Parts: sequence; structure tokens; C-alpha cells
Amino acid sequence: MHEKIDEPVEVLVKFDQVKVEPTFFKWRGKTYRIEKINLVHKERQGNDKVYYFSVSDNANFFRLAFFTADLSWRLEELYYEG
Amino acid sequence: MNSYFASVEQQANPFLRGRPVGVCAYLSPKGCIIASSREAKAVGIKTGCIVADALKIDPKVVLLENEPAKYRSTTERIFKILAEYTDTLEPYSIDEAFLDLGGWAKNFKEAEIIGLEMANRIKTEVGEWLSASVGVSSTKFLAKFASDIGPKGGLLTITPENLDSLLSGRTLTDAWGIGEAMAARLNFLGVNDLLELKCYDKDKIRRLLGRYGYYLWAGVNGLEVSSVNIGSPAPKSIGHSYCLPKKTTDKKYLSAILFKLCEKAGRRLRDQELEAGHISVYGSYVQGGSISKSFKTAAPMFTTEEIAREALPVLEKAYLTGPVRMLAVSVGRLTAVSGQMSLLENNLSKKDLSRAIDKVNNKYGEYTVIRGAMFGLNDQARDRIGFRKTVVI
Repeated sequence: MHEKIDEPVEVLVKFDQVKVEPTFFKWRGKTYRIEKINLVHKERQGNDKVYYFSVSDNANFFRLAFFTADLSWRLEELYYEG
Repeated sequence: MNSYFASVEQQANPFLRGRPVGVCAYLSPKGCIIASSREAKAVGIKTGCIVADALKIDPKVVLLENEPAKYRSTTERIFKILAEYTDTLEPYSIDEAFLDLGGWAKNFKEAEIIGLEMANRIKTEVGEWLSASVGVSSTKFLAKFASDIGPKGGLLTITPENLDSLLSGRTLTDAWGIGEAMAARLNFLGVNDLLELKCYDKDKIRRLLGRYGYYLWAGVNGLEVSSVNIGSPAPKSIGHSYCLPKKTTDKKYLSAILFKLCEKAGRRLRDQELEAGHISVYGSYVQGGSISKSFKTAAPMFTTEEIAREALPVLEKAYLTGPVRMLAVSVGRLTAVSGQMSLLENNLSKKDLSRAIDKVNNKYGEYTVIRGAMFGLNDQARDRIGFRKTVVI
């Protein structure tokens, strides 16, 4: 089941020397641990550059968006089996 | 890259792996599948299939609307890896590139090692589900042929020694540049497979099929007729099309959509500091048939208004015999923009105004400032993925 969400989320992020890795995020009161970052892509929206992290845990796929203009995170999509 | 858009979607969402996936231009029943996953191809859902037919073949197929930014961004990452191996890289399309390894690899063996290393790096650095087919040979034509006929996700090298065996019995349309019409012409000359084309008399094919026939003959004979370009070649035309969600004869609605297509073409034209001297306008009917007109323009086009001034009258003057399902506009004869003033109007300040509007839209997002003719059309004719050659590395 695929759902469009588009809600702000709190994200715990690891910045290492070459990459940025979201590791946990909190959405609707529940904390999700990111097991795998599957794909990172970016898009320009005017002056704003948005980085999209397609991530998954064992049961769900999530798409997180990081907006560089205001340093905010949003959960954009959710997919789960069933 | 194999089943590229579908593979990128399966890379992003691992729950789609192993399932038939189709990436569609539109999700409406007549929307076209522009990329099928390996699993979808296995059940008969091929690229070009329409949504309604795909659902008939397999009701469980996952159909997704295409996301241009995702594929372009992934291609940029892949091409950045490729660019580390040569200074002569030609992006051929969103998912294909030619690399001239002359000077970087001493022989085919070394080229194969580089090819396999690149394919592995794509998997480890961009995504493990992304598979690349590598073709190695002495010319662009044969390298592309090798990647097309070779194992998916693997490597094939064409050398003078194995060339004949690979061409023998091979359908003509398997070669780059031979479509159904050219295959029929070759059949008429008694050429039924690619080995027969290779063995055909060079002078005779040139006489009968012209320069293009010679290029095909040279291609299968391993003679290089075009070297690898550095970067993407300049575009010959810039165009946009749109399958209308509302099939109609309402010229007011159709004109507004056509204006937006002119704006999209104009944006890309101005972005590359080009102007155009030729325009084609096309519309197709739901019941079949079409209207089209192509012509040279009296003055070069640069601003959206200049393009629309040529395109809109084609639609206005057309007698529509039924509801229109698709509109397209394309501009050609592209040259670098000039500062030539017009005797009839103040064209330079209009160019400046167009550039200023583009600048605002670049900064604050597409369609922040729009022409009145496009009001209310934000959700129509949105960004679509093309197979254009202009990929930024």
C-alpha cells in the first residue's frame, strides 16, 4: 500500500566525511529505525535544493525529504506490504 | 542501464523488487509504460504497452508515474563514476553513454576490466539493483551493438575474430539505426541478416541506399564513421508534448495548453542561449488522424510569446474534426542567440523581460511568475522524463 504523507518529522542524522545518513526518525509519536538507505537523489525547487532519501526498515519503505533552504525534514511517502 | 526507470524505482523501494513494475508516462488507462522491470517483461508487459493492457496481462503489476528528477539525479551520479575513467565521455541518453578508452586501456582485456569495474561501482556506490550492460569494441556502433545483444547486466566484447559469428543470423533491426522501414529496404536488396549486410558490396549499397546505407555497412564492418563526442552534442530541436487529460475540441483550453508547451520549450531554449528558426506543431485526435504543420519562421524565436505567436494560429485556423488527445510543439534550426534588433518592434527588451522572468522562476521555483495565458494550468503538462541527451555530469 502506497501513501502520500507530506508531514514534518524529527530525524536523527549522522554526518560523516562523505555522506549524510538519516538513522532514526519520529513520526506520529513512533520512532522508526532506518535499516537501509536505498537511494539518494536531489532536485532543485527554485533556490531550494531538496535531497530525497528513499529508506526502509524491515516492513516499510519511506521517502524522507531534506530541504536545504530551511534545514527541515518531511516524510513524503510511505509504502508497506498488504 | 537495463530497465532503467523501473530499476531505479525498485532500487528506491526494495519491496518492489521481484515484482512486475511499470513506470508510466501517465497512470490513465491509455497512459504508456515507458519502462518495464525485468519481472514485468517476463510476463509480457513491455515498454510501450498501455496501462489498461498491462493490467489485463497482470492485475498485480505495480504502476508508477515517472519521476524525472529521480532518474536525472541518479544518471548524474552514474555518469560521474564513468567520467573518472576517461576524458572522452558522451552521454547518449538518460541511461546510455559512450566512453572512448583510447589511451586509458591498452587492449580489449584492459577495457573489459574497466567496464566491469564501472558496473560494479554503480552497484556499490549508487544502488545494488541497478544493472549495467557493458559493450566493448573498436567502434561506437559495435560497442552499442555489443551492449544491446550481450547478457543483461554483463559484458560482451566484439573483436574482429567473433564479429561474423555474432552478426550471422542476427535480425537487421537488432543493429543501431535500422528500423522496420530500413530493414524492409535491405530485405528488398536481398540482405536478410547483419552478416549479409557486412558482406554486401560497399559501392552498391552506397549507390542504392545513399550515405546512410554506407554508414550502416561501415558500422557492421567495424569502420568508425563517428567518434565519441566530448559531452552531449548540441540539440537539433527542442520540443514538448502532452497527452490531454480532457479530450476536447475546446480551442480555448487547447490554446492554453499549447501556450504552456511553448513556454516549456522556450525555457529550455533560453536556458541554452539559443534561438530557433523553425517550428512544428502537432495535434492528434482521439479517433485517429492528426493535424500538423512545420515551417520556417520569418524571424528567429527566443521568447515564449514569439514561439506562441507562430504556434497558436496553427491551432486557431485548424478545423478540428474531433476531440484532440495530444498536443506537441517543437522548435528547430537552433542557433546561438543574437543581439540583432528588429526594425518592426523592440524585440531586445522583450528578450530581457523573458530572461528576467526565467531568473525569478529559477530562484523561486518553476511557474512563480507565469504568463496570463497559462493561469490555472499548474497541474497540466508537468515535467516529464525525456530521453534527451542533455545530461549534466
